[in-house]
Amino acid sequence: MKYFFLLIPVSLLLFLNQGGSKPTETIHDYGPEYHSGLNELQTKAEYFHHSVTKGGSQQELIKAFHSCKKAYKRVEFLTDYLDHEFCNRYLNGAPLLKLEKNSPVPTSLEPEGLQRLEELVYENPPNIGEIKKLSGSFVSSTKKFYKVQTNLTIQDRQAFDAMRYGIYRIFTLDLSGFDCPSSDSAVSNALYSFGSIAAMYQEYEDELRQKNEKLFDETTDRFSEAKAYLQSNQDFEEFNRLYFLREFLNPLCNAVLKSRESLGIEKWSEVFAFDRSVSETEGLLFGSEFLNPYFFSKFPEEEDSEIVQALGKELFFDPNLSSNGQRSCASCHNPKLAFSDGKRKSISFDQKSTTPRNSPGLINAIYAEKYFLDLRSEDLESQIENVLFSSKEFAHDWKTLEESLLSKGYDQRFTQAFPQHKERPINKYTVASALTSYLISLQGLDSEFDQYARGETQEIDPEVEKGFNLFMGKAACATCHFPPTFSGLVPPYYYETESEVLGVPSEAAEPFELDKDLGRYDGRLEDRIDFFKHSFKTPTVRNIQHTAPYMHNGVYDSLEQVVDFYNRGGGMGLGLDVPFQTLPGDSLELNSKEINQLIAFMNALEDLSSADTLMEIKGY
Amino acid sequence: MKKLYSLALTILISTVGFAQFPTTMEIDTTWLPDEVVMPASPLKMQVIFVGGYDMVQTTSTYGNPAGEAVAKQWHDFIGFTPDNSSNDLGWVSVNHEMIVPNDSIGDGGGMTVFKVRWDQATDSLKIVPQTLSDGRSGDFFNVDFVNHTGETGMNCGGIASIVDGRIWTAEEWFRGSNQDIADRDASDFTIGTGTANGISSPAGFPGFNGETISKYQNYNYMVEIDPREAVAVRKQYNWGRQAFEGGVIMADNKTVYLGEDGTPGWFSKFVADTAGVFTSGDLYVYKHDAAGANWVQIDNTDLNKMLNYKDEAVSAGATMFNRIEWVTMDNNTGKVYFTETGRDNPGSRWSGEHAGGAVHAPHHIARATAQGTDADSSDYEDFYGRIMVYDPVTDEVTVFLEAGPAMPDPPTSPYPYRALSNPDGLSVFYNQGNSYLLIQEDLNGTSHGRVPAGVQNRTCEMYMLYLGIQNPTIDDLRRISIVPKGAEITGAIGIDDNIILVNSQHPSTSNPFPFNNSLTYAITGWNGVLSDLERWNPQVESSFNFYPNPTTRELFLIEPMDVAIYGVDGVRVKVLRNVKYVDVSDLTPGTYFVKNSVGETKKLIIR
Repeated sequence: MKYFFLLIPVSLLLFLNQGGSKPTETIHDYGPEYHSGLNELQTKAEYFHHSVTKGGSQQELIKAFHSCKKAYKRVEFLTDYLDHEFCNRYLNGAPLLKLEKNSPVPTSLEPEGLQRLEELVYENPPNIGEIKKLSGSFVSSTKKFYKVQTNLTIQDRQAFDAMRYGIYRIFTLDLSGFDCPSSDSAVSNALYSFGSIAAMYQEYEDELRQKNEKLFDETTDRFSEAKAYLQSNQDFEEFNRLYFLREFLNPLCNAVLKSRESLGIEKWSEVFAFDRSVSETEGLLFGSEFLNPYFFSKFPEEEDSEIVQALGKELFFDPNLSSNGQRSCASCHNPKLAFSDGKRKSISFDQKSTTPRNSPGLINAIYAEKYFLDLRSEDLESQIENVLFSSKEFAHDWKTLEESLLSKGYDQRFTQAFPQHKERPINKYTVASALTSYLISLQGLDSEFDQYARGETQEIDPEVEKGFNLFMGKAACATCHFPPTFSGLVPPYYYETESEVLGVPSEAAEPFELDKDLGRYDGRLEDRIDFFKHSFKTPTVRNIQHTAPYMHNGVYDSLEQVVDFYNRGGGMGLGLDVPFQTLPGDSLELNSKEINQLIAFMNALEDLSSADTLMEIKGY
Repeated sequence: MKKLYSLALTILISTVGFAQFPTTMEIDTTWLPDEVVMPASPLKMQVIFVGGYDMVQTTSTYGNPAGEAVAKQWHDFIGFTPDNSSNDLGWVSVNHEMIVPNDSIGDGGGMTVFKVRWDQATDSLKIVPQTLSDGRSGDFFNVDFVNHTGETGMNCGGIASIVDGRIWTAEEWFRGSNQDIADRDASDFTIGTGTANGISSPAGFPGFNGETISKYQNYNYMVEIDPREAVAVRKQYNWGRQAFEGGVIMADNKTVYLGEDGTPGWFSKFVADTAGVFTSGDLYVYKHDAAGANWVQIDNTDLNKMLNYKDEAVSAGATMFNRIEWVTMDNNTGKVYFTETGRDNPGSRWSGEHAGGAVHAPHHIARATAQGTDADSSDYEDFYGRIMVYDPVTDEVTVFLEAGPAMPDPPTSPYPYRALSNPDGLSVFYNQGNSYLLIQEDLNGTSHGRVPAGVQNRTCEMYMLYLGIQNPTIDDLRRISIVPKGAEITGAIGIDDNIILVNSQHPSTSNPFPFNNSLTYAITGWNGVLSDLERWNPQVESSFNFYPNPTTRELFLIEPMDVAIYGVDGVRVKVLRNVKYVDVSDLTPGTYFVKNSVGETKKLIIR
């Protein structure tokens, strides 16, 4: 085929002039409550700013700050759902430097909003000048936000969506203390959020009673019990998150979905033509179908098939992908080691040196916004191309690869897998798609822990439970390794992957020296900014017992060493100068028993079922 | 009477409160509801060039032999050069907005060129195979920069001269050091030579040949290419080193207007001494409050000043814009249009230059004042951007169309009926003597109503605006929706009355091949469509609540309402609330049933 040729109709949209207008019909118009909540936030923000300007004591500032935060938590499930980007940038984003989106040169944005203010008001002594500047900006942000938001109505489908995402946020972010960096207010924050969600659900009482009275009553009871539990268990470290998940959150997530269904309220896919990361039918956070893998790939589900996947598997193990015919994907991604290779750094193309970094495992790797430890590839197609072009990996190019695969008799297999490409079956797109299809099949979200978290099994080792509660709480692991993938894929919308500056040393033993790898700074040109120096993608901890050694440079051989590194406060805790470390530099104060519990939890995340079936292939 | 009746229904609904659309509906085959037929659009889309898939012919580069390689991706600007000496239409030039090493195409970004003709028999475009004078032969050709002007990169916008189809590509993304480039050879660059030492550039640049600059300083120019021979001609050192995004050559073939994508970004003008010779002439930067003409001359015979254009603009007290993107011209009026895409909080980005002497554009001062702040403050926001117009007759730059969501008042909708945000690509399409602006968005974010609430995808759209409309508003924009979903349009150019060529980059969502790649395609069949378009509003002579337009694949509603669409199996496939139109272009042709909030049902046939 000389060039791709296709005729399909194009549509032209003509907007009509607006005639008369009438409000959208909703069961319940939550607009007035939402707007008064925003108004309350603005009032509290002004009061806080006023306390700062009039020279209030630190105690007064802290008090005024918390009433502001409370007002925000009460509306957050809506504000964040309706305009996540604005909230993340101006109202309640992480207190870290950010990269400006779509800017003509890499530009850093100073943190603003409640999380940054919380750090500042708790500082000793507080920097009043800085607080004043940011409390002033916060007031003006709440005003700008109010102006746009009060122009919009909230539809029932949005209300149910916001409730659902709100519940996920409570579990994954509120209860892990993700957004209260300096105070012990995680559980009360969760309670404020929960209260508003429960109240919104009650607005649908009349209609739900008509449709499914039992569902409504049970859900209402569950909301009350959950609130009561939060009220009587306010201690951050003691809070039993696994119990709370199984008893309250799981049933509520399902109930919100079922309630929407029984009211006949439309699904996302009936409104928008593009998909999103979270399933429309699976309510459980730890459900194996909760995330949609195709959302993370450019390869569409409609084109995937067992034939494509089998071809991808064949290619994955085929050394003809490298120009010397000696290296395959499996050379560094061994299925026996959860698709890692057990080496600090992988053996390179010429088998004489090593690649620059440690080889990550591939099970659940599809669930990421970007690929590589430096996040330089926005999609798997370019990820595969990077490996193909790299002189340390496959040292190949597309044209020669196409010819070589053709000469190995692959054309028939490709034609079968991609009938729409029959004129040129082997091309960059089909090769990348087959490998993507195989990667999508490498899922492992059905571990012993997942089964218990979903409520399918009734018993789990108490050490695992304790370890999970530490992971989500005191040990602060989950503030970067987010459930359910326990990677840097950020809840509750699951479309962004974070990287962190940890200050990993070049060797495990003293004298410590910061590893020279600049990570993300040396990845995409768009990321060439100081605060991305030494920043690396946050990988999953699932199947971690099989993917040693650890960190981007494979510096640690055991999980004990890894946990010890975090327990000491990362590179800063080791006494290194790490200017943009995103991990607090102080100790987590975990004792050895707790460290063992954490490891017991991580070990309970093992699921190699997608790798097991491969053992017989090509001698693995 | 009918009106009264529908009013009564409205009241009834508001007491019911909610338009219930059961998830399934019984289809009674004996009952024949009113039928609405939606014919296929007369517009056709044809894919002509796919990045990362089609092969380009390459020259001997970095010691590697001439040959063939898979084309680069990230299509942005698209230029067209008519062929007046044959029956072929002409040459198409496509920018690759990227930086990536490549052994045979060359490091950095680049361009691909090819020739097209109209095939009457199939009513479609065909690629014309060519043999170039350097011996390369094929369909698609890599433009050789490496051996002629040195590498190029982040090729964004550009210039396609309406006089003779000469093409310039704009090197955006300002480089501050050799770390910012992806060249294998980062040694100093001598103007007038290619990077492959020993191969000399055929043209070089008069006046600057032999001058040596750092490698990164050989980026950020407007670069002329020859689309017929697929080679770069020269970097336009005399237009200054800027983060160029767009430009336009005027009908006199002497005057060039140029825009820079930065905060601040400058609006510049070059006037050639001799028509068609752009290596010598005067360079100016726009200053709205200058004494006399609104332009201050910059000495473009001094290479140092050209390398540090920003310093010159600041000390000239030039007018600052917030990221100028594409620049175009309406040949019917001679007015110059450019997009100022905006940046959320520009304050700290240009306060230093302001202190140094540069001045804020009047519209930014007015906007900041209306926001109760000043343009240098972090409080000042510019979320949506706008389209500006420069009228050479009055010598003034003014706001042509302010972008932003058109918010309904009172609030009735979860999303405004129309929203233009962060306009980027801009060109003029001529049809039957009329001028239409083609506008492409490139969203800086999803906040503040730039996408529907609750959506995280950046959905960038293309709009058309009839330039015959006096004082247009957002309401006058016509969205051009392209099947399939998600493909993001970065550049478009009309090549005659009937054909618009469009570039799109990777969509963020999954799509069937080739729509998950960078691609160049044509939308043909505009003749006849635009005569309908000129009427803008389809003729509404119907007692029905919804009806098709003869030329579209949308369902129009006479007043905003809730509708649901069911398949023949009775399963609900779409629900849209408070809308005046429904885009059904993603539904496969077939029979459907449309139900509105008062329970009326109509059979819908999509062809």
